[in-house]
Amino acid sequence: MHAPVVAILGDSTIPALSLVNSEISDEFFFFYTEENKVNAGIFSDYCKATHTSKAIHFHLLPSIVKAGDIIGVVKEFVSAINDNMIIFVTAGAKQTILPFLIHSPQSTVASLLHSPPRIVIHDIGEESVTVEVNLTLATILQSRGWSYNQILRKGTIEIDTIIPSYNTNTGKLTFCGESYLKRNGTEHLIHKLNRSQKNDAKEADQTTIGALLQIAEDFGRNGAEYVIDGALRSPNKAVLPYYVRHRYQRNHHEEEE
Amino acid sequence: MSAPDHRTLFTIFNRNNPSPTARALRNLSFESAFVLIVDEKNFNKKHRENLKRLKTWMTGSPRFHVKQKNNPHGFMEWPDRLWKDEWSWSALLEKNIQFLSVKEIDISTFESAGQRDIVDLTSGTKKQCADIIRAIDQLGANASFVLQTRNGHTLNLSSGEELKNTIPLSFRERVWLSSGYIVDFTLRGEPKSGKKWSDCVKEQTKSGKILPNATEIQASLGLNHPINLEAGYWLEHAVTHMMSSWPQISESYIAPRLINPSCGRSAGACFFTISASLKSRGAQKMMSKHVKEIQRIGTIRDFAEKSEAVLRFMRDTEFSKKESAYVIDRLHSIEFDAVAFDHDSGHVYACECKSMTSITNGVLSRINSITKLAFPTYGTSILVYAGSASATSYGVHKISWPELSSSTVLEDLPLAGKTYPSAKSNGTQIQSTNRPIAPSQEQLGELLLILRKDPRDYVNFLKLLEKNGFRAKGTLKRINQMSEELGFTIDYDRRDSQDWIIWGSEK
Repeated sequence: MHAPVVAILGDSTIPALSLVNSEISDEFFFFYTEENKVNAGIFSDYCKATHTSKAIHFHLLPSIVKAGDIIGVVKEFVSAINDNMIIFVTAGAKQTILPFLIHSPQSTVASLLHSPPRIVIHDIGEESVTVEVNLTLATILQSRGWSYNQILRKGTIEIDTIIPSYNTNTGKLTFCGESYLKRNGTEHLIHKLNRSQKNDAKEADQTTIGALLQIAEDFGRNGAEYVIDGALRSPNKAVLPYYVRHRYQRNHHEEEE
Repeated sequence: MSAPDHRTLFTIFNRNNPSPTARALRNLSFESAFVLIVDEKNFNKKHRENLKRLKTWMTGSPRFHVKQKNNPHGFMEWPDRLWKDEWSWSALLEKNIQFLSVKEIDISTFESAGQRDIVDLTSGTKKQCADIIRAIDQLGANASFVLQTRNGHTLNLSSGEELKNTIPLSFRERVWLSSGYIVDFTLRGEPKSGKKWSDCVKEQTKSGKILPNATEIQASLGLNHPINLEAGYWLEHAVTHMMSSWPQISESYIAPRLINPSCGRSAGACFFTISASLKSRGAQKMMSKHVKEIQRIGTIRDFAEKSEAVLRFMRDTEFSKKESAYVIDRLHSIEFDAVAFDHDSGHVYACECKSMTSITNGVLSRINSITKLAFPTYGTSILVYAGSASATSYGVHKISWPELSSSTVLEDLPLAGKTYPSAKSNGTQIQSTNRPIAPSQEQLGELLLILRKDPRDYVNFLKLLEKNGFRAKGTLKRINQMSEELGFTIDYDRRDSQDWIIWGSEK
């Protein structure tokens, strides 16, 4: 299993990170589009610092909207590589990763599955091989330039309302913030707030949701689970983006004011 | 292998949204097609409904989509006088398209594939697509792999060649495929008019409202009637025309209405809408021949009997042309003030227009909610108003209407508000409108009947109230108080869905 791995660096960090932290190869070719330039730079720094023994190459692709140009770059790359390669199909848009396979259909295919997190390698005519994935929260955060010690930090950004966690059994990354009312133990008073308390709740919850959205920019909408926990007033509740989940254990019937 | 001149298309049914599959079927040229339905056994209700909608789309008309005789909401075929032919689209040649249910992607599925054949990989997971690519390679079929891009091209994944789709899905088809509503509209946006709205003189009132100079724009548009700036309709027109002049917009409509495909439901809800509006003189005049019958039906206490009478009335009444148009205008469940389709990005811009300077968060939440309902994947909510600051707020693009003259206004939106440069104001005074009042018990009951015939989520029910001139605040509490009498319960947790009211026995 020493064929080089070809993968796309997408919005989510876990797929690429799982690859370099597994023992499936010593050589990796990561492609990224214009849109993912910044994240690719941070990931490259992470690889240089922590995977010195592996040959990890980074290649810029044209913008995702120039799909025809992307295919031109892929064709050139595939024709230059004579050896067999492993194509990692989990990350990247279809128009970025599938051309690799179309131009090299005999290649081995790898994909990342969760619960438990594992990379499955499918070679034509052979049994699939499963390689386990062991990541830590610190590694995942580091790969996007973040750290956590009571406070989430990236450069000058500090977020103290969001707690990150990584479930090693499922392979899921979660960022969770508590609603203002839950934080203050006043969820039961949701319909009895005065105007100033309503404003405080609105502002605080908007800040928490804003922090989740900012983190989602780095870890991808589908790259982690984003949760706001506790009673939330409208309109914050009604206009949550689809990738932010509202978790609330209701103990009583709610009534509108 | 198929005959040398015969071209077969292979594509996967996208169970979460049938639009990509429809795009492949519409835009690729083939003699026959296989639509692979992977793991159909484990489809949930939504997946099954999506499949049914795709099959209806192929027939070219949603007119006969709902045909179960045991439909609890009352089966009724669309009568000619309540159906518009323009609600349909071009049909596909159904006989050439086969749906093939497969447990998983398997090499045997592609045994007939040949060199002229096309495999569309727009739908399906990446792993499924990888399995197809390898299966085709193993068979030595050398078929072409293509993908439908969001900006309306067919991309050849082997050569990189991109071909612009000649017959892209229309707005009507897109709405049908993604949400299952029939679209009715009367006016399209016109770039020429858009330019006139962009160039017209704007005036800022003392209250901060930015308005067009009504006389000047009326003359510029060549209208023979004055523009009433006190009603908000002028803004719907201005927005649609201005957005239509953006280079990336291929379709735009003023006030499109979304209608439930079940005639029984739509007509039933429409009846109660008309009944509730009979308090106005205009409605009384328009439906003068039928007022007595509508009122008689209104007195029927038994809901099943009442529903039966309503359906009979809507189906059998010989409405005049004018009456039919009046009825059709009230068949819808959802209405947008304006919509525009961006053919570059694939986004549908759903607009709410408010000729006022301050917007409550509730309005923002409502526009977001109905946009997500009708266009779950590519819907973008826009609120256009007569205020001066444009910004993104609560996930909605809030735009001061004169700024729509720039086609990049959405990309340029600041996170914090920016101020529209104040024009030399003429100090036009706009009178404030009357404040809405809460509906009476009886009026609320009438509106709940609409909800019963044509279920809609809580936010849309509030919109219905507001549209009928009522105040929405405090409604939930009042509905709860009426629940015992009317025989329903409220599921507070399901207010985002259509079944938040659970009706008991048919009392």
